[in-house]
Amino acid sequence: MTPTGLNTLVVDDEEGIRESLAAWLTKDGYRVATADSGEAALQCIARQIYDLYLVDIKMPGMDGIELLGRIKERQPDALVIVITAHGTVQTAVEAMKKGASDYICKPFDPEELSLIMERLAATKALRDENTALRQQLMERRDLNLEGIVAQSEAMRAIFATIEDVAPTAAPVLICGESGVGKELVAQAVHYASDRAHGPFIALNCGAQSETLLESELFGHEKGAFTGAVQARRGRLEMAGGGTLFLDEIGDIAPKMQVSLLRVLEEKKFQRVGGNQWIETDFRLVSATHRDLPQLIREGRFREDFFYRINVIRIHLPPLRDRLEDVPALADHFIGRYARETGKRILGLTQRALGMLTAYRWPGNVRELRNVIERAVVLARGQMIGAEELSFVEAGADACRLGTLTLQEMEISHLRGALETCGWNVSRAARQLDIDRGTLTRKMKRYGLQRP
Amino acid sequence: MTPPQDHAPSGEAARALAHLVPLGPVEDLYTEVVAANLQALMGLPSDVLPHRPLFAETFNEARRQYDAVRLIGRLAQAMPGPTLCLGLTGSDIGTPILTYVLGESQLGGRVALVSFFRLTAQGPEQTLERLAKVSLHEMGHVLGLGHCFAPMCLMRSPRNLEMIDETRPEFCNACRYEILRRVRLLDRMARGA
Ligand SMILES: Nc1ncnc2c1ncn2[C@@H]1O[C@H](COP(=O)(O)OP(=O)(O)OP(=O)(O)O)[C@@H](O)[C@H]1O
Ligand SMILES: [Zn+2]
Ligand SMILES: [Zn+2]
Repeated sequence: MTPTGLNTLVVDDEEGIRESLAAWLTKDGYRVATADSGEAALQCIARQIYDLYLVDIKMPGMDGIELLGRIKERQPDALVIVITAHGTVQTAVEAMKKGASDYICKPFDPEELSLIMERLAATKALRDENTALRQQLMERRDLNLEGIVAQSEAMRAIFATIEDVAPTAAPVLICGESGVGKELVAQAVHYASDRAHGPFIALNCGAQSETLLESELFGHEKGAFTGAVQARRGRLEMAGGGTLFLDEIGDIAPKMQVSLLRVLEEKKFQRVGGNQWIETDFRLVSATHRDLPQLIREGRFREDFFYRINVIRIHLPPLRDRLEDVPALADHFIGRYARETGKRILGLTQRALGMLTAYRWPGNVRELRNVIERAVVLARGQMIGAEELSFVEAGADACRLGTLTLQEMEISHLRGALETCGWNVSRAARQLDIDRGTLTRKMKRYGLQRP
Repeated sequence: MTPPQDHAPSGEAARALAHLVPLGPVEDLYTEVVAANLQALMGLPSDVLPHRPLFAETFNEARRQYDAVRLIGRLAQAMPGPTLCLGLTGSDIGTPILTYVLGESQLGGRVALVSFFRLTAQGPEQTLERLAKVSLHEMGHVLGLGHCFAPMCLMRSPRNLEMIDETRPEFCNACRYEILRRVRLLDRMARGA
């Protein structure tokens, strides 16, 4: 009966209680998040579902009893343990009547806490089927907005832009190297728009022959070409009321650009081999890793089409230019793959994190995702160490590896200074003889945080 | 268990990867036994440092005990890294949520603390054995290991003293593998490789 992977939210306004409880649960294999108020807890719950809640009854603002009610409203089968201070058992009894699974008086006797948690794990085991369903739900959420990590200034600015432009119907062009998250941003645009309930239809234009691409986009009537034994709807039709995402738009031929331009202007089209006009209403989001202005100069991309699709442009910087996102992305993927493989993995060792933030990520977020997936599969313990990481370019460039080590050394030097100064940033900066702002920036960049 | 190989040049002792710090009055025998166990079961070369007084500001008057979390914090400050650090004390310790603890540690961090206040047994031998087991367990946490669910492993979550007594002073294979792997990493880093 292991509590492996039980998602837990600890809600308490006292930092000491919150952190000690979280630490205790983590050692016992729970995945733990914390919130310092009822209101903060509700925000967490809006983003994710937890299996288990530990809730302090007495908190300023929304108290534990009210929070319990709100949790049970959304998630009637949630396991909630209320935490009380000695002498308020009366309230605890009230909480039990309202659906709490158990209560504990703080501070607890260690044996008592162990017993309650064991009992709970048993209850939880009986609900496994339920959990499986819930995890599926979480996976699905991952696919849209909830699963996007945006830690760096650059990514946050992009999300602010998305929120601004999503409600309009204007076409969006997303540029950036392969694997930076263009499709994810396209989805974010869709889900933040008033078309969110309509379909999100994606098509990669780079991977298709011209004829096939035409029929994929426009659909075809029966017998329109050899092999077209049945009439078929195209993506333009399927995207009606929703968003059409055309990836690698820089790869489509000028002739097809003309056809698409006409659809965008007239909002109607004909299937291949058909003569009926079909009306459609979709929002176009396109993406490319190519330099379109350059293609225009070379005569390979039409300027009029470019202006039509490039009304709003979002540029996604490569991962190496926003290394602050690396720790958060790594955590995000560790969480996902740990859940998928049912492994209990807490995170990265400091050295592993150092390696990740020092690498140049030619394959961007996709490469990071693959590295983490592999590491999770290989991991034998609860922490992913340097040994479990393998990079595309490892060893390919001795020169660069040299600089990596330098950066790793910087990270460990900074960490050492911070530790010596009890994580007092000003003091550490003085010791390192750099200014405070520089140190703060570096800490952010390398994900250095007070443990 | 194979003891760790000594890579150090002859005549020079292996570089300590862990420091033992007696906090307040602690018999030398206690620290020596713990150091020997860290060395033998975890492959962690450990040095015993001179006594230090307990950090008075971490005493919780209302609970008549030291706050383990704050004590670890102060110890971490006083003993900067990268060497791991284990504080040993005869005073009672507790945390904000637990009325008492036998030991406390930073998971995957650097510092741990063990109190033998509640470990005292009939004979001194049993007390020492308990102290060694709790120390090994907490240092396991420092190396990043969580609780283990193998029936006989030092990383089991210790519910009470009886459970500690019935567990043999051994890690299960999985935990041992992890510990050795991490100690090797630490060692490599300490050598600047
Ligand atoms: N900010 C992010 N947060 C979470 N996951 C991300 C983020 N950015 C990218 N990913 C993940 O990285 C992977 C690659 O992203 P995506 O497919 O969107 O890249 P792309 O730029 O469209 O690549 P390509 O141009 O090669 O199609 C996906 O699994 C995606 O979920
Ligand atoms: Zn433990
Ligand atoms: Zn074990």
